[in-house]
Amino acid sequence: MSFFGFDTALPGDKRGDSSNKGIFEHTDAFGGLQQTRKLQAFQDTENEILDFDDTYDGLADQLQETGDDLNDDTFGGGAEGPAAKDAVGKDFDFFGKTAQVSDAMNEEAMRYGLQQPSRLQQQQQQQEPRAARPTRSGYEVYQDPEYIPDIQAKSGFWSSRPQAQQQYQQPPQQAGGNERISTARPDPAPKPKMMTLEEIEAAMRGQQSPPHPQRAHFPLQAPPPGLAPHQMHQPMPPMPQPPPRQAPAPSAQSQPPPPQAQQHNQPPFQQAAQLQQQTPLQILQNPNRARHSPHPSKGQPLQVGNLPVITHPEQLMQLSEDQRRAYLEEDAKRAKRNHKIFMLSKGNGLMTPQDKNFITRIQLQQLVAATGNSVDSDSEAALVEDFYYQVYSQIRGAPRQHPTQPLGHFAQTYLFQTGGRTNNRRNAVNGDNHMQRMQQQVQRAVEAAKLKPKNKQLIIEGSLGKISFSNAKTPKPLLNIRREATSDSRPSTARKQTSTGGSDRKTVLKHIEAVYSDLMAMEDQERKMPQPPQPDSDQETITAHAEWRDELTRLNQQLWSDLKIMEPIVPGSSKTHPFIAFLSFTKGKKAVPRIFRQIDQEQRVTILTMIIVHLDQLDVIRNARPAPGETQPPAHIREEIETFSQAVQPPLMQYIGDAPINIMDGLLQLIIEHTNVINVACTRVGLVIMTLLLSRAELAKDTGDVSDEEWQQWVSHYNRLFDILEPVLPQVFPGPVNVGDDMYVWQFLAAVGIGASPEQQQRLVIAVKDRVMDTVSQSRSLPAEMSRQRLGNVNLFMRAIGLDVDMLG
Amino acid sequence: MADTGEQGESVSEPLDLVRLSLDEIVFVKLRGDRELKGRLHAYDSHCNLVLGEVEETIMTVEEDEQGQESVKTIKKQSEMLFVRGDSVVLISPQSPS
Repeated sequence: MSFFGFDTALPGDKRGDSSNKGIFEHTDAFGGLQQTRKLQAFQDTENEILDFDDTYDGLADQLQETGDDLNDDTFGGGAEGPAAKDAVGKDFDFFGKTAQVSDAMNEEAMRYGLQQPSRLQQQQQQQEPRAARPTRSGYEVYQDPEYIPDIQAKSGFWSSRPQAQQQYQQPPQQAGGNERISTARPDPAPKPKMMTLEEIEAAMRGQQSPPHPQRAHFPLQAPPPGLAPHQMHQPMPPMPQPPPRQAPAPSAQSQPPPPQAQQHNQPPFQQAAQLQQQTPLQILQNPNRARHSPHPSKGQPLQVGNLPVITHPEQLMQLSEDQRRAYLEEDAKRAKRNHKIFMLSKGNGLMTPQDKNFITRIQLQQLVAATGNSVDSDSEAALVEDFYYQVYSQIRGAPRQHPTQPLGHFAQTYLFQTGGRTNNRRNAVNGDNHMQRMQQQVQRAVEAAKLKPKNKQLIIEGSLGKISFSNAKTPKPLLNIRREATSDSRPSTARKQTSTGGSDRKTVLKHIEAVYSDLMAMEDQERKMPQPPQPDSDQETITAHAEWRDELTRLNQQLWSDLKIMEPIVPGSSKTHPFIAFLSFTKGKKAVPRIFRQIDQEQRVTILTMIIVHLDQLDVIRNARPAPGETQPPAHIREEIETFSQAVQPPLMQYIGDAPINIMDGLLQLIIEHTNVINVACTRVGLVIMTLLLSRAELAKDTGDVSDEEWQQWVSHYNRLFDILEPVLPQVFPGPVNVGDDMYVWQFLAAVGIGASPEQQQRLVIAVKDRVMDTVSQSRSLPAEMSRQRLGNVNLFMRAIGLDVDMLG
Repeated sequence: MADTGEQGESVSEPLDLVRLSLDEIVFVKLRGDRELKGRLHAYDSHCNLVLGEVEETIMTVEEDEQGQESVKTIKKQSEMLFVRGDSVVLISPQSPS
């Protein structure tokens, strides 16, 4: 196949027939050289530029093409030929079209840039009126609308023809030096022969080496013997200086020198050569490749890294010692690297993309199953599947409204991402399929689970009993104890309660369990919250929400009654109030924050009032006074106190923080009238609660939303409290100065001090003066850190009454 | 779990009594002359238990040279213990002492 379609098989050329075949079919792949030579001779005689069009035989037009019926659809309507181009509409897909030929366009641009000077030069040299007819320059093909820009004729590249053309077209241009070159060859092959694949590769590599490094070397070299003088001063980078560099094709150089050929009168050839030259040049501008470009030119010192390409063992023998060693080293390195790559690539391709997708799907399925998928909208199933994880994640991610939402969303995002990453339409479809299949699987599982319980038992007619099935989730019940209807059992417990006053251990434990059941039911109900009704919601949504709300209210009532908070307070009774007994259990205390979440403000203030009224009966206050001789209450009481301050105090504090002053006033009054203030004040919990009340009252006053009347009432109660507390103030501290954490006491004193009148402040100072002095003096002997902390505590109080520890010297 | 009876108050089956001891100290007698005392964190219908702060007492009978038998007790402390239900003989509430 000739490059531009003209017949290179000249008459009389013995091997002309083989010119249409590729390398591997050739008996003599490089026989084409002679052809070229002859052609050039032929052209010399003609001494005229061949017009491309003249050489075109129009054979392609005779081809019966099939399968092009849809070309119009594909390419936007028969855009072939200039006439058809006019028919292109406004919706022409510029990008698509451009993208199709962008490679070719880039190439073209680059090629043009490189060629421009040489073309001008040619024209000047030719000095013919051809300048007026630039179409004759050989470049006119680019203006031809029918010109097919994609000249990366790869098949041509791989076939012997253009290569041979190019390779052997060059020596003639260099004009006549070939004999010397071939004599310079150490190993001249006398006859054209078959080249080995390695040799061909090496030859190609030689061609592909970019022109720039070659140019850089060029001035250093003695001009290659075969170089025509006019070429020396010609800035022609794209034309490699082939003979010296084409070492790996020794057989080629052995050809007898072709007749002198002038470059300027064979533009089509040059064209072909250049095209051929640059295509690989662009593809393979790779420094590693460049390094392999051989420089066996004599007298040229070998540069590091510039190793000749060895394609034949014989060549190795020709190299100098250094070269050989360098070559072997290089070779060893390469072998090592190849081996490494091989080792790494062992598992390559084991899994098809489908396999990988499948694995991903399995993993995602687990993810979806574990977290619940917002798509399947069955959080119920997710909860049944893994209740504790669901709740845990809900607690951990408190701000999230729906526990299943973010993780399901995450799973989806992940899924979409993997689908998108493959960026392939087919795979995207696959991704969708996976999603769908996954959803279907989940739905099927849920449906199956829903259906199961319905036929848990099978009653065969005439049989004496039921046949029950069992499975992993619902084991076959061996004992079929019917749960009593709640109404049946309730009166009995209620009766018992009234008889025992509802405070014995077992009853209280029952209350606690009932409360926990209610709490769980309510929390479940919260999770089941339907879409909040919008103004434009349909009736069904509104009804569903109303029903949900009713159920929640019912559960709230249930909880409230189970808390026994409204049990009448019997003054002077030896029995503890059920709610206070409730709080005496650790689990009762721990329930309080959860209870507070489920009840309204009024219920909260009721609970707070109940606690305040029974303040001295709380186990954490009643049992908190250390036994005589002890500085601390017993360990288990300390634990209870800790639990109380962690579980019960925060919700109370939260409520108190927003409560108005009249509630503070009422509570303070309750403390004074209903509890043993002295006992309360001697405990940590008692002091903390009183601190809360006092400081809240002060804050409310500061913010100014307190009427004078309310304030007067508060002050009168405050004064009563102060009078009660004054004598015992020195005793409220836990143990002697050197033990325990007394910060809460100083906080309490500060809260008292802020609200105190000047006269009361003085009494306050007198009451705690000893403790202050002791603490200050003791802190001097403590390490700096602890000392600062203790003085800071004291200062809480001192600053509240307008003093400072530093004033004590 | 979430689906326990609406009225936990009612004691209608034996395990409801065990429920009252949740988060309390219980005494558990096991087969093989072992006893446990610890805080009951969880249980199920098989009497599998999870206990915290457990003191385990193992009683062994040892025979000395004269054929005299003596009971030895070994005590072990565990932070947390899972007890398989098939070895549980009895569970009893134990008020903290």
